[in-house]
This record gives sequence, C-alpha cells and structure tokens, in this order.
Amino acid sequence: MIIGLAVFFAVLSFIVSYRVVVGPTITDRLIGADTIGIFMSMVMLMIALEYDMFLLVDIVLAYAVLLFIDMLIYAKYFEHGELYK
Amino acid sequence: MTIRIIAAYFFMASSAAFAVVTVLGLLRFPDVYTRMHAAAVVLTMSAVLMSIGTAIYVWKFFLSIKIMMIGFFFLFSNPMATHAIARASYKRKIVLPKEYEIDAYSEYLGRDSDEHS
Repeated sequence: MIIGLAVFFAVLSFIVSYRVVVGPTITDRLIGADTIGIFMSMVMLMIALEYDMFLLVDIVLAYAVLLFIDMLIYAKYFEHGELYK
Repeated sequence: MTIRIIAAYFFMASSAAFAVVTVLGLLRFPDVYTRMHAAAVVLTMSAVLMSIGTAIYVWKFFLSIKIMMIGFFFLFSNPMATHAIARASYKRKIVLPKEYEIDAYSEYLGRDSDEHS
C-alpha cells in the first residue's frame, strides 16, 4: 500500500509539472518547482519506509533544507536582479 | 495489522487527499496569488500529515523524533519560501496594479498605487 501511495505522489508531481512548463508567469514556475520538491521528499520518506533504508531520512532532511535555501535564493535573485546588492 | 498501522495509514491517506486538493488548486485557480495560496497552505498540511503518519508507522523513538523534525521544518520552511516568492513577485510587478481588488501593501509601503504601473 505504501509503494502504491508513492506511485500516486509521483503521478501527482508529474501533473504539477504542467504548471512548471506552461505557467503564464515566472512565479507559477517557482511555485510548481517547490511543490514538486516537497512531493519528492515525501516519496523518498515512503521509500525509506518500504525498503527499510533509514539512511534516506537524513537525506530527506538535507533535501528539505536545500530546497528551502534554493527557494530563498531564487526569490532574492528574482526581486533584486542580482544576488549581492 | 494492529491499530497503530491503521492510524498510520489513515494519516497517509489524509496526506494524499490534501495533495490532491493542492494539485487541483494549482491547476484550476485563476490568479497567481490564489495558486500560491493553495501551494502554501494545503501543501504544508499534506507534508506535516505525511511525516506524522511515517513516524507512527516506524515507531522507534529517535527515528520517529527525526521524522517529526522533518515535518516541523516543513511547517516553517514552506510558508516562508512562498512568502518570499510572493513578495518578490509583488515587487517585480507580475500582476499589474490595475487588476487588484484590494491593494493594501502599496499603502503600507507608502507609495501611490498608480505610481508603479
């Protein structure tokens, strides 16, 4: 059941990639990328449960922190036009 | 199948339901900021419910605490990132100021609403 739920989340993130590809503005693309990243971290958590690879939990934590810093850097670059200002 | 596994499956199924609501909101809402609202609120609820269900499923002390810390981090990080993107897209004039119903943030910034059009 868990692996079926993981496949379901993967299908949902594939549907969200529509908003990344044909989003009208750049904000829609950023939000779609954020959503896909969080879905992928949840899928990795479920894979760690299914196959008893609990090293993946640490990887999910690092992935969440990197996703957060990525989104802040994208927002700052998008607001100012350059990073160091 | 004990009642603990059933509770874990219940939390995971609620997380999947919230994820479906997130995808529907991202695909069907008409405006940029409403889509962003769907991705901020409902997706945070989905991630927190998934981490709670996973922590109940494994049921080991330190591992459950670590997985709950991932959910606690998502509870803060996802609205903060979405707020930063929304503020940046307001400053870069993604939606033109004529299209707002209520524009209180430009009054807060102390500039005229017609100024940055």
